[in-house]
Amino acid sequence: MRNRSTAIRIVVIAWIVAAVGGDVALAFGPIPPGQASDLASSESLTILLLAEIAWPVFSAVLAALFFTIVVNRLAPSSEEVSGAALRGNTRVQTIWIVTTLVVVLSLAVYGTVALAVDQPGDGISTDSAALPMPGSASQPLEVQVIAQQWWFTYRYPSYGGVETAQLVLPVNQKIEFHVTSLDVIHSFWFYALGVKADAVPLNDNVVTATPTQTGTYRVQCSELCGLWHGNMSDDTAMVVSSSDFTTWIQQQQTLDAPIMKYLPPYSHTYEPSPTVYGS
Amino acid sequence: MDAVTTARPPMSTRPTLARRLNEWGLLLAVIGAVIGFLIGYFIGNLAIANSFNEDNSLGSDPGILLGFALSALGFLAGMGFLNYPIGRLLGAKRPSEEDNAYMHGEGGGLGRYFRMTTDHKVIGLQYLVMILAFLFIGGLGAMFIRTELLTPTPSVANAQSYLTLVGLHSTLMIFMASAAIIGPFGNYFVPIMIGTRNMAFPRLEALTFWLLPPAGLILLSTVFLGGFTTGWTGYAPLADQNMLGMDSYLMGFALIGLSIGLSGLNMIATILTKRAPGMPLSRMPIFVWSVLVTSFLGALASPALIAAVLMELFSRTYQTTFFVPAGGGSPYLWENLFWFFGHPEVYIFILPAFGLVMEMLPVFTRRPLWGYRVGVGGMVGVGLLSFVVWQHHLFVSGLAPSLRPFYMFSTEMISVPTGIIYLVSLGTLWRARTRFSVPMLFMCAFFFNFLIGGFTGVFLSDVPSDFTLHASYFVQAHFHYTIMGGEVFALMAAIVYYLPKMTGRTMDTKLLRFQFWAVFVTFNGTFVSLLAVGILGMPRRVISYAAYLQPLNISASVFALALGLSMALFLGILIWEVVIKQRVAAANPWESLGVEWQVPTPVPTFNFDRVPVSWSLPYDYDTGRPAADFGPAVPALSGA
Amino acid sequence: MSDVSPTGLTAVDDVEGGGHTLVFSSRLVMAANTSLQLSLLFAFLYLRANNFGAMWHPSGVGTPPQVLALVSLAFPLIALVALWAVRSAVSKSRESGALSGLLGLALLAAILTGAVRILLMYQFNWTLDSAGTYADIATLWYAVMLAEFIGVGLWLLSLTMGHVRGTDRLSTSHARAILEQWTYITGVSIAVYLLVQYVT
Repeated sequence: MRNRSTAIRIVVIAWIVAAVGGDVALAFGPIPPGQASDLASSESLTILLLAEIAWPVFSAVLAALFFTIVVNRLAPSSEEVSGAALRGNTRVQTIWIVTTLVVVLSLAVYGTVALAVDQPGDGISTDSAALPMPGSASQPLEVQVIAQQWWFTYRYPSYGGVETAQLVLPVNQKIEFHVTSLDVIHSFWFYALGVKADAVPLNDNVVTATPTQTGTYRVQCSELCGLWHGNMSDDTAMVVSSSDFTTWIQQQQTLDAPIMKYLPPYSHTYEPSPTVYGS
Repeated sequence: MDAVTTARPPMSTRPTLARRLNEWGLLLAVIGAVIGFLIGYFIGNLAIANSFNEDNSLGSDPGILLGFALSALGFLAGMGFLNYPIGRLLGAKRPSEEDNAYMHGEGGGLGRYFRMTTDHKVIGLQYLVMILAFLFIGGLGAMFIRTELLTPTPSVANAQSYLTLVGLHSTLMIFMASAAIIGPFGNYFVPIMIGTRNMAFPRLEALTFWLLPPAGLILLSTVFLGGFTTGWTGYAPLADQNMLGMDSYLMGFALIGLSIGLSGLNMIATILTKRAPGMPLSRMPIFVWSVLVTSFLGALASPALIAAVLMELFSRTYQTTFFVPAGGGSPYLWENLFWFFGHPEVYIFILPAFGLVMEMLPVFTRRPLWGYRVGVGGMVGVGLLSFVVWQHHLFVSGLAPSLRPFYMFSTEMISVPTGIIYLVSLGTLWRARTRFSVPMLFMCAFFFNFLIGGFTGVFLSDVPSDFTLHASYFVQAHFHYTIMGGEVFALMAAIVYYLPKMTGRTMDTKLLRFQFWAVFVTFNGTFVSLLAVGILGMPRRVISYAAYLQPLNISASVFALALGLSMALFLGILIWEVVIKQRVAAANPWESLGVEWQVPTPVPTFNFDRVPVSWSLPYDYDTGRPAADFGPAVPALSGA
Repeated sequence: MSDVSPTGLTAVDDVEGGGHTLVFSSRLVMAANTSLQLSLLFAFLYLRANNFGAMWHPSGVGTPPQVLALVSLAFPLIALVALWAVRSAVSKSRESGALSGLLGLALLAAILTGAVRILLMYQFNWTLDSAGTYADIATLWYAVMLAEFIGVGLWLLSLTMGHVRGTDRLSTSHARAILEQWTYITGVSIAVYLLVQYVT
């Protein structure tokens, strides 16, 4: 019928416009978590690709729902007997299932490839001997993130194991984060770098990323860790140039010098005391 | 008179002791609960008196836990659940026909709903009230949370009360969601739909309901015990650190896990062994299929929760170190066991909603259900896959990173059978004479909301994108879209749809349509804001957040408060129309072919005078053929 | 379409689930129990494989006393044989006297099972807060098995009392169901024994 095929055409065109428009808008818009590190860029790309595929499919299903429910229904008094199969249509079912399978499988493959390429985290490190990574063009700089109730501290093993309250990183240097906890489960979330790693006591959770943009960023805890979980955040994390970083770390070493002998020797995990509340 | 109808003996005028005890059940239960608590508390505190001591003047963990356990036992004993087992243990005579009929609620009356009744219909209505109670108390918690989050720093709450309310809101909602559709509608309608007089184990079913009030009250008692700070996921070792309030969560959740498991077993036994003649599995209504799959999930997943809770209970009393690394344990052990249960749990939430929507759709489209077999296959597929995806909650935990691709794959795969639900619905809606009654409106909203929920899930299942989105408000909005946008909207549709059958009453359509739009708009407003806030980097369960996120949080809070009002409006309409005004409904207002609509209202105590013989699926809207033979009885052939 | 019901039945009463439902449900319980046992097995193997903090099985922590552990397995096996005999007796409709004797024997063995297992657990002698996770999981697992033996034992008691006092005929389904259930739990307890005793 004329009305119906017009309606179909309108809905399809509307969908195409929405899908293309949405995909174009997505390509221009800032995609989280941003481009401040190689890891973040890769995650952004993944999210962008997912969104570019998801949006047309989502809007197609919405359009189909809208068309079916609103446009394509029969009037209650209509005498028309639908020629369409009433109880099922094997071809349609097969096409649907195969299409969704293919889309989903390709997403999974892409995700696996992205993971393999990024190698963002080796997870638990079995190596308990401290092998501090000094950081150079070929070597990652090892930075340990120690989470406890309710703040983060950072240790730089290749600079004498100095412990700082502020996280400062050199730009364009591959950083190897070793995240651990002293008491309960926390999670180290450096949004701009695309780094999130749970801090589990007596575990060494490794994530690598290379910051590519200088700036001041926010670091926060993203696993409920008790009373002041909400306050366990810090807006002073910085990515600076290598020379600035060297200046800063030397300052920290000087500041830390008197207390260094009281700090436990650097290791990938520390013996926690979780049953003492808030220790 | 009908020779095959089982004649019920007339009720004798002098009530037996058993009946008297049953009548006063609730009062005895409360007394039993108090006495049980005191005994347990005393013994528990005594047991550790000479060893280490901890906590505060409110007692110790063993005292509180044993108190809770014996209190729950005392409650159930007072209710009358121990009468039959003790009778069997003593070899006493079985309860008489009369006592059984009384316990089944023969003779009607409102009292049935306040005592142990074995009639699955009574249990269904009891569940409905309990579910709504959990929903609204939990919802109050949400209102409080959103009020606090209007400002980026603590304003109306302190950290302890905030986290406790977060925990209470989420745990109560979990309790609610695990039984929201199966409890009221599974219990009420599954036996009728499959043509049997009662569940396989009626007393057990009553037990699964009566476990809920103690579970809820024990959970709420955390307020008097200092609260708990772990949220509903109860991660150790934070759980070990927590003070007495944690025990309320553990014991409450244990009781709910027990209820889920037992109810699952009962449903499976009923559906697989008590179907009416002429009803093979391929002729079972699709709602019953969803209940069957869900029950398998419940029966097989809740033991993992029980194991985890037992370990945590031992850790808080006997000082075992299952989850403390210094003592040889691992926090990952809790995470693994908890999520092995936790993931099937969320499919327990949504599968009955899928089944119910597919069951109701033919009624409002006046077309047969399209793709029944594929729909059943989809639900079975979801059920099976749900057991092999749980590690997606652990993608950034540092655990087994080499396994991540496998779980990414399995989690992505689960969207395929889930999508089949949309396929079936689209097929059923195709060229349909759709009636946009209120339940249909809620179902349309279900499709919209769950679509968003499902697609946001895809972003979470992909590991690289999960790095940014895990533990943020994006996850929170995702599961609110699926659970609230999906299951709770289906719940509201089901309440409006089935109310005429369950109570003989109906609600004013105009009011409901207004309420529908209110809840749909405010719901989406709230959770779109929260999706955005999550993408921008706000973690979950925080009382403070970065200042630049405040406008979105205000938007979410304003919408949320309006959402709360809309939900309260639903409850208000329900109470007003059903309880106060008592607006009478037509016998089959939706003109459904379902078997449950062919029995009279109120449904007879034993459902049918004569068990129907099933002829076909109840979706023959093209021919109008009835689904079962309710015809007049023919005398039995042999001298039975 | 014809109006005749496809099953040919037109006058039926409720489908009597009865015995079939009981046996089936008993197997469902075994399935759920399997899920519980697998969770405990997972915990056991996981904690052992990782040996966190070197506290899986620190020195000074012994294994359960061998002899008592074996005795604690002997009694369930006796009960199992008795229950098997009960089942054959019921299916051959032997007279009630022999049945009472067999049920009594099974019950006695079940009670002794519980008693010995409680005694065994007292002999573990582990100070749980410092004995490491092997002791933790072993204690928990034995406690769970004890609870299961008590549960099925109570079921056996009710069947026995019902039979002895003549208030309940012992049907083949009941005999079969309890035999299966007891066999399952005995089998699991043997596996637990082997694990705890030898996979340390």
